[in-house]
Amino acid sequence: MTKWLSAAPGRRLARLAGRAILCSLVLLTVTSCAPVTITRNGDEVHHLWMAYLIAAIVVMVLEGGAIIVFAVAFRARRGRRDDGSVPQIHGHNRLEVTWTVIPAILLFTLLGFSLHEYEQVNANPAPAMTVNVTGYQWQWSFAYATGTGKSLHVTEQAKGQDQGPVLYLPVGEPIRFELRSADVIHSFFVPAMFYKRDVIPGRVNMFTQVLDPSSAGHRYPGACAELCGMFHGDMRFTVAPLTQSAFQAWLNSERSRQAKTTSCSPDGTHLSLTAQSNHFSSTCLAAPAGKPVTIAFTNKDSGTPHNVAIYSSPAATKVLFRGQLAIGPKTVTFHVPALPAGTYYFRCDVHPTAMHGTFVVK
Amino acid sequence: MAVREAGPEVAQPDAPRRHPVVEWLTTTDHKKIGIMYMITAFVFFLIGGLLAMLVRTQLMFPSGLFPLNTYNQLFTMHATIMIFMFVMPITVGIANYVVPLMIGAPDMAFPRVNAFSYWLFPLGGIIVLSGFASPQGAAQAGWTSYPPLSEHLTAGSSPGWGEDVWVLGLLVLGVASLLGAINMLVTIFKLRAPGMTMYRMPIFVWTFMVTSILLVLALPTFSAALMALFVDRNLGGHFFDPAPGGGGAILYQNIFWFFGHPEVYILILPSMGIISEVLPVFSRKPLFGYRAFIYATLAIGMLSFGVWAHHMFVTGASYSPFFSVMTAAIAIPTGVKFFNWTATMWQARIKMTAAMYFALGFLLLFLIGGVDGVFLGSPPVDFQLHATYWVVSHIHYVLFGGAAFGIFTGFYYWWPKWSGRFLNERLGKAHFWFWFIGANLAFMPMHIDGLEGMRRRVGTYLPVFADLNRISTVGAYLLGIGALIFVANVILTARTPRTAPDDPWEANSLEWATTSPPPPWNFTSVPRIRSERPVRDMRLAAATAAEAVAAEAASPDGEGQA
Repeated sequence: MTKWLSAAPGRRLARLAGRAILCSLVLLTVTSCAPVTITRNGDEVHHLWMAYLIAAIVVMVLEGGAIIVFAVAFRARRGRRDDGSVPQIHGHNRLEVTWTVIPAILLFTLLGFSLHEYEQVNANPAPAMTVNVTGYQWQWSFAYATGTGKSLHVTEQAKGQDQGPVLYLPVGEPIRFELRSADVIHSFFVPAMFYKRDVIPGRVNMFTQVLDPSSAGHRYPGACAELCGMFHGDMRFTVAPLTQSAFQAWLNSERSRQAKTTSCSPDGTHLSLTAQSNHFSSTCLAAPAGKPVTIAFTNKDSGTPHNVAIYSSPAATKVLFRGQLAIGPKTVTFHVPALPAGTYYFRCDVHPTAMHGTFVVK
Repeated sequence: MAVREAGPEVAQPDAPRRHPVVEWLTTTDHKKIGIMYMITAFVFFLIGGLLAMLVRTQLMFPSGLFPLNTYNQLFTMHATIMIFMFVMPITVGIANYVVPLMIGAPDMAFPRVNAFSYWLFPLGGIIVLSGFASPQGAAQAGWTSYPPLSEHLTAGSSPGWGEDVWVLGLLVLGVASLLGAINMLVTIFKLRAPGMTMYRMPIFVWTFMVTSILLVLALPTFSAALMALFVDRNLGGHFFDPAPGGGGAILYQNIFWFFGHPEVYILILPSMGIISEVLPVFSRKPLFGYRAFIYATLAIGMLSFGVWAHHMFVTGASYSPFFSVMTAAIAIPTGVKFFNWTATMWQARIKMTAAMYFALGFLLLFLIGGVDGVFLGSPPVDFQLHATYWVVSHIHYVLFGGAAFGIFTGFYYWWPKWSGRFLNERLGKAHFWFWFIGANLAFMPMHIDGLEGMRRRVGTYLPVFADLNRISTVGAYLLGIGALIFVANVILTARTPRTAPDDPWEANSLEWATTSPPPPWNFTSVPRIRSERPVRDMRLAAATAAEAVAAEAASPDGEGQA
């Protein structure tokens, strides 16, 4: 299963060769070409896909075969006078009705299975928990709404800049995903779930999935599947299924970890902050109340835009200050207006889940 | 059949001699306009092809090569050019040249409107391409240009005027296509020669008639969406603003695809028509089920307006069952066409010319594009395949394997009629093999990428997909070489003498009843039209007459005959 993320180069080639052979000998490919899915719905849709594949192969062999065989068998040969002997056949009603009706039956049979499966996939059983997914340009934000209490934001980044935030999920119980967009259209896509759903501004899309217990402990890539601008390709995340007990344990430890306060540095009217590998050098900045503050901001991520924006709360609904995007490597100075005493929130607007912190004004 | 030797052009009797440049710039002759359409569209094809080579070069490496915003411009402009500035206008060019000849007309119904719609085409194309001069680059929101990405409500959307000129250029191209379509419809309805009833029209005329109807019905919708987008971007409109009070982001998708799916048939129907001309000619047989083919074309035209939201299954904002039923329904007439084409070859004596090679290539590649498209009509399967390389593969099998192969079938078939010269058959077949093998190498692996989750429109991807992507890139380069072989073929044969006779292929339709190339007003006299194959009737009548003469000459009392 971890093949999804990495594989030794030698094995990769061998697997590719094997896959290529299988995929060209189409009938055998049926199981080998497709990813193994991690949800019950995914498995069923995968079976549906196979039904389509088998029908496709039959059509390709019969119709494609007829084209090739006719083209070879009925080609004009040297030395034979062509015209005259060619029968001028204008049509054949019964034959034409037959080849209209048979494909129609085939198509509508497959469609029947599809619509049945469509109902299954769209079923929305009562969820055990809800994950609030927000798509930004160009990052994901995940928050768990479990039972009572505050929702918990995911802060962990998968190893490597590209893998995005890690979404831990419990197996074996229905999880509802609520999808919102903060800017343009995105699409929440986990290939191993055999599923995607668009994330559309001004609209809440939702779906429910049950993860298969065999997926616990593995990691699967997810990503944005709708073009959303320059860094669309890098807008990834990682799905990490856990057993239900392991998930509870993780949730509790994460909650207590986030509850701990961190000390604030730098502190003063001249702050400095560095962004590197999609992380800020500090997650807590402090400044005196009622005085304008400068932030010397250095972006070390080549080709990646970052900024610093200050909001009244982590909900990031009210902007107090927004710095211009700086595409690294670059150093800029932000002039933050005087703020009343309070605890605020700062983040990079481009990478809000990975790059954020507390802005304390005393 | 007189073979015309190289020699002075037939002088246009009633026109004063003009400088050739002035003549071409001011012509209203449908044949010259058709040729200008084709040359202009072919230049855009080379530009769009170059962009495709750059796209595939980027994808040789999982971490990419060009800056990401450049890459987004590359694939956006590649698709825009290929759809709006290559396939659409080049089929208009072919039809412009061929349709009046096929129905025995001297010109289009409105020759000056015809010239006007041609001249709008390079203008619109240049406006779209001028986006590359914008400091922020050309349009980069994909050829579908979904808002809010194509607006500039957020910092990372579409700043700069690259997107604005994309909108304006497409509006100009839309006006050109609309005028052309109306002109074509009037020509087909009003200018048919005596005896050319609707059910004796060549299939290419039928398919282009339906194409024109689709254009007239669908294009205004797209123009409206483009204007709304322009107003949103520049005049503070809220047509597609997702905020409360705005029209919403999904509105654009509904309007766009209401045009966008008929557009797919606008792109492919002319090629279906070309294949339906070429297969019977080289098979020495009539098209199997001429009427069924016409009904299938009309059915596709009608159903194409009822399938648009199958592009929107994953939005969760469409009633999917209705659109998947319609999608299954539209596959049926397309299947009927396949069986008709195949049956046309039954017991034939197929002459394997380069045009026939391309026609067979069309059948095989378009078959794959038809079959892998059926998967996408199933909403649950589409949830996985949508916006992945499966879709990229599907549209390239349809638009390259289908539309482009059909267009080049037409090139090899009509070239002697257009220029009076033959293209080199051997180079033509080399071109075919580069394209047939290249297309499969480039597009077949994309099915596997896509199924396993490689997303479209990404400039970087997970290393697991690297090997399949490199195969695709090699295939794309073969396509580039094939295109260069075609260019070489054109250049090399341009100096050969004009040896093409009136009817080199022993064809069926009226364009072969006049000289190659035809004189300014096409026909000195139009032959009797008593079936859908008037030129074949003429040929058979001539052969019968010649036999009678020969028999008479051979008989003892035949003396004194001429």
